[in-house]
Amino acid sequence: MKRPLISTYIIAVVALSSLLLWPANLHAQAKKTLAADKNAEPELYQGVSVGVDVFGFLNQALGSDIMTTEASVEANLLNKFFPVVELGYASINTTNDETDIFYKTSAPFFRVGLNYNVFHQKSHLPGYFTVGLRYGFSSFKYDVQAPDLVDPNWGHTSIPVSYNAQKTNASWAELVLGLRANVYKGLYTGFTVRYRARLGMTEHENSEPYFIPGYGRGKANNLGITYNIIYKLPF
Amino acid sequence: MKNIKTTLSILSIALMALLVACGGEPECPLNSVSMARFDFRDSKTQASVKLTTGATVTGLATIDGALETDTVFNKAESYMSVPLSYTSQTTYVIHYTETMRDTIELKHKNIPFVSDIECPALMYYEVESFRYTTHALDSIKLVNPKITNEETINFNIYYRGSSAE
Repeated sequence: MKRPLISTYIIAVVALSSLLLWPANLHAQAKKTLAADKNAEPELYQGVSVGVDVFGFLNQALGSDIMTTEASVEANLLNKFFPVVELGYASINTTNDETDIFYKTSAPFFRVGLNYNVFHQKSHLPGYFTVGLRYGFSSFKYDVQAPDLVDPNWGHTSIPVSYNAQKTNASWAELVLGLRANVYKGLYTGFTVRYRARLGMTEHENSEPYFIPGYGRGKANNLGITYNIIYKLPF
Repeated sequence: MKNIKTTLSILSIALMALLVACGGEPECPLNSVSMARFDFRDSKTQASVKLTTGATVTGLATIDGALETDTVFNKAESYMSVPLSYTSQTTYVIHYTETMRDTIELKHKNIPFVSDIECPALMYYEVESFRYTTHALDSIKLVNPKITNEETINFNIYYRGSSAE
């Protein structure tokens, strides 16, 4: 299996470079323009944005066995609260080089939650720094196959290890930190870092899922990232 | 504005460092063999006792119709951890002396388990039934029928006072 560690570094650099898109000169102009409206009450509905996560594409292009496609729809309320729905599809088809264990799954997933714009009072900023929560769910089947187990003491007995179509439901919570910047008109780019904790998962007698679509590595908790391109719809 | 940019930059770098740090080596269990643990106790006082020095434990399993034996324990300890066979039955003979011995027979379910593709598959077991002789030992109590690679007590073997040290 190709480890995604190198791509993590590369994406980290790409994500950090997005900070360079923060246009300081625009801030000054925006600050002057918006200063006049400082005391105005913001409207409840501030628009809807749609976004795609390009991290999944880049991750696979850089050699990962994991493919994730993900889109989101987010409403802006008071420039403070952002209820969001995220839908996606993830797949993995991999064999570990050291253990020779094969794992395969592919399934859709969804998440629902809310972001809070920490800098909502600084409306002159051409971007957002958000803290959010998500509830995620995926229903999937996975195949896992390992080399036969050979009895280490009475060495003539071997047991096959092959379990296919293991039907599993998994749910999880995410703490999401996000940063996004306006790059051109209604176009934004940014990234989120997500701490994920599993809430529940179907248990099987012979295996645990290595990868859960939308969650990542099937451990009790993990850390993930998305790199998003977001478009604010003109209505 | 400068403060905000600085704060965001530091926060971003910290988050990325955390993310990269989390991409480390897999945490595979150090102990990859599941052993049944029997604790030796005095039947009256429940106190821990040791097997007599020189006692050995032989494991027996029937493989393809032939009985195969293996010495699986030979320490004067207050417990023994012994492997199980990949057949449905494993028998242990505890040799206290040349003439005194007890036999314990376990019938078990074998449960191959894959927890992570980066770690080798393991064999777990579940004890379905057991029986034993009572030449030196008094009784055996099943504490936990699930036998995994974690160090847990599965059986207590109770001895009459003079049978063990």
